Amino acid sequence: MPKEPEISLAEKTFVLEALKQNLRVDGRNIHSFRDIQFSFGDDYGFVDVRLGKTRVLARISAEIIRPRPDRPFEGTFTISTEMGPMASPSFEVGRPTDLDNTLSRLLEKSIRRSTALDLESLCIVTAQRVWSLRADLHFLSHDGNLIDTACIATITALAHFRLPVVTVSGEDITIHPVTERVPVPLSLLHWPICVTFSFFGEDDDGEMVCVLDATAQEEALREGDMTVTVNKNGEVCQISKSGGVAVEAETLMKCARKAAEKVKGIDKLIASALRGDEIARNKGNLDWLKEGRSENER
Amino acid sequence: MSMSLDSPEIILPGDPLPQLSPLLSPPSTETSTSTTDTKPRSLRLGPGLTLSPTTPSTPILPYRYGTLNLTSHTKRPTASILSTPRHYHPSTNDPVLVTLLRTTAEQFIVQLAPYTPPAIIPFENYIINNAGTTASARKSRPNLPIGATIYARVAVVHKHLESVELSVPDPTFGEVISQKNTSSSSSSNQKNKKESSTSISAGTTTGASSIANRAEVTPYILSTSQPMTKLLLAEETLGKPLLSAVASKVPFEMIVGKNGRVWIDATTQKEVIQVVRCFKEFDEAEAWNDEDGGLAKGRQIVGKVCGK
Amino acid sequence: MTSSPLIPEISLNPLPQSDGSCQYTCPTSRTTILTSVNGPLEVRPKDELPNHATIEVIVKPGIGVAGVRETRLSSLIHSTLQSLILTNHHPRTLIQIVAQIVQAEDHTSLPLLLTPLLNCTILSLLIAGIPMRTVGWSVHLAVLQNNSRGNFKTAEGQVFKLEEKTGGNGDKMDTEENEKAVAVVVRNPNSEILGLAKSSHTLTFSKEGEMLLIESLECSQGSGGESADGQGWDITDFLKLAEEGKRICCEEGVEIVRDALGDRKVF
Repeated sequence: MPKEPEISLAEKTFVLEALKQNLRVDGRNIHSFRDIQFSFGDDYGFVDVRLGKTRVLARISAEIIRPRPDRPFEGTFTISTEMGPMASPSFEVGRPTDLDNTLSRLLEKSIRRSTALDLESLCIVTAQRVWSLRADLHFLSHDGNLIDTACIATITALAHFRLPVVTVSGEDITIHPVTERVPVPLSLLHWPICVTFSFFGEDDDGEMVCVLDATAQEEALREGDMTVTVNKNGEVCQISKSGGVAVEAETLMKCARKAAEKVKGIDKLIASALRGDEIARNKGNLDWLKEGRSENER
Repeated sequence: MSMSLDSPEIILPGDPLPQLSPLLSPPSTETSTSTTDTKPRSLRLGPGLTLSPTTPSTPILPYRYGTLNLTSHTKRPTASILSTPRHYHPSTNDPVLVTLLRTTAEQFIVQLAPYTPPAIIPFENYIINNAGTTASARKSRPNLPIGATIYARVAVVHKHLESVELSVPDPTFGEVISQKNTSSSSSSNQKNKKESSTSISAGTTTGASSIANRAEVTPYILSTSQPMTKLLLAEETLGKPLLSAVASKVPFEMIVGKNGRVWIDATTQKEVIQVVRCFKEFDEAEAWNDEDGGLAKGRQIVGKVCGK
Repeated sequence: MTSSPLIPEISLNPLPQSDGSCQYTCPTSRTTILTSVNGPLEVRPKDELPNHATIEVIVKPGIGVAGVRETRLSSLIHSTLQSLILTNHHPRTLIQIVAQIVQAEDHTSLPLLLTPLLNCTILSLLIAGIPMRTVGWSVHLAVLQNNSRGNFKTAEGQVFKLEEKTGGNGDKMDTEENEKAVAVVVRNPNSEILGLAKSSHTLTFSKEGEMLLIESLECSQGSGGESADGQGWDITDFLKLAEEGKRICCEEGVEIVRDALGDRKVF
């Protein structure tokens, strides 16, 4: 099986030396993110997020199911994150890596358990029919920071998704196609965003070097990492740090504050991307809505 | 190798190549031609072409897309398909920069490119002090740390053998310095470096001597795509616009391995990063695929990275 | 890019880190596939073949986890590529192909996915420089009954009729019978048209006209419940259809490949 590539001593020495002087190989500031680019598909709830060379697709789909007996008022929401060799030849299908596990656990904690999605709003008929939402994440290209990218993609896709309108009359449930009734957005209570810090030990002044949005090369060389999930109101949803270099409480506080500041910016980017797509969909393309889908030029 | 201006026809795998037929000497006419030519002309097949006995009408089968490159003026005409896949396919005599994975009793196990099968450098191929015998080669082998970068040459490529075999035939090859503090052993390496690396600077002074005296800089090894590597290797032709644009801002040294590794050194850490960024952004934008060979894009990137 | 309704949108090397990748969008059904090819790589010892490269094909669904459908698709692609790739050039290595279904009208429809998957994979293999014996191209054709009452929109050049059967059909003077005998064929049908179809045929030919894959399905709902024997397909129709499919693959398909690769520089 193809193993992770060996990083040469020259690269390792250079990257670590440069970081001590607050320099990064790609010329970024240690606290700056790469450019985030969004592109939306024809369908609602489909987004392609690029963070530098890292690229993640998220697709939301919905189906009607019978609710769990112990939760008759709630719909369900699952996030599926299966990595394949497309992102990196060292990922194998059906054999989850540590990164796989960390990622699915973090998204679970950040988005599902922070009740970003109001599951009760997915109920159609109590104890009979509820919406079951599913987020499929596809990792196309891995150049570090898959966690933050995956989280941004999931939140953006959820905010972009529209549920078809359902009418209930007695026993009958009618799902109105997009062409018939304008579908409704999901009830998202807040947008939790993950921000991952990579630690590279202390610099000459004894301060911890924390790098944001690490590349794959930096991730391979880091001494520890921590993911903070915050929403734009500055509410911390979760912090996770599993092992790695020990970090002072003061550094942790600094990181949390930095994360809150970063999330405000990312939140704005997502909102403006969504607005841009909304305008593109409705303006000059009204027949798109009328016809649902067609062969005409988009 | 110069590029013709009119874009030559793209050849797809399996396309017949009638233009090669005259160069093939069929066995029946061999006797008649041998009267005029002392030796029958034989065609050498380069990368991208193979013999296919199953298709007698077109015995030479292109197996990669690209354009036909034919050198017929030499004693032995050679045909190959020019193509620029991103993957490195080793061929004999290629200079390469490899990373040491581990050392066994007889050889260094090294990596040519990520995820590919490892290559080997037997100790007897690692010639430093004219070590002749296997025993002396083993004794005089350098003690290299894992992750060290070695500038080597592809000696044998045999697909059915265990792996690609490399050699370090003379002192222009060898370990390239990766760390400052190994200065005791790197005195000879410093010399190696100067001989094998390309020193590029805009000014009249050659960059090599000044860079050798640098204080706290370590060189960097950049991974590049195959087209980019070819461009950097062709420093007088294809790579000239980009290299001279970068050199006009930052003097630097580089060693290019055909396997898509480029060793870059400059006077300061910041300058190394500038050079690395110029190359990387140029490569990622696939600027080598541009109409002008990346001239405009290269200038733009250099301007952005290194300032006015 | 959408100059013609029959020419797919192709973007080469959209993934910066794979050896070769391609994104392919079917012009009519908007099915979008992204494939990446890496190789020759180090192979897992258990998959190692002494004289050949191991070809691995993974199809990843757009929704849900891979199941029987994806296994079937990947085995169809695998067997088609097996005859195209010169595996003996890189023995004991791995050629890894991953296809991601990015967008599809119907994520469950095998025939709608197969043609884009195959064409996209072949383009990424070419870009990755994997040794190939020849180039193949795939086309998806749906046979509709002439009297199909469905109102469907098609692009120009997308529909053709199979010639009226001569000879054996000559004595059948009944107009209604005659009409039925003329089948309408739609290229690159979308799911709406496929829903009306009598049968669906995915055909793959090499540049030289060798047939590499036939994947035909009967679509029983296409008969509109008019007659029980509306199912299945006529062998003479099929042969004509195959002939037309061959022409499309060998001429138009290869032209698309040449055009797509043509503006890439080689040096």
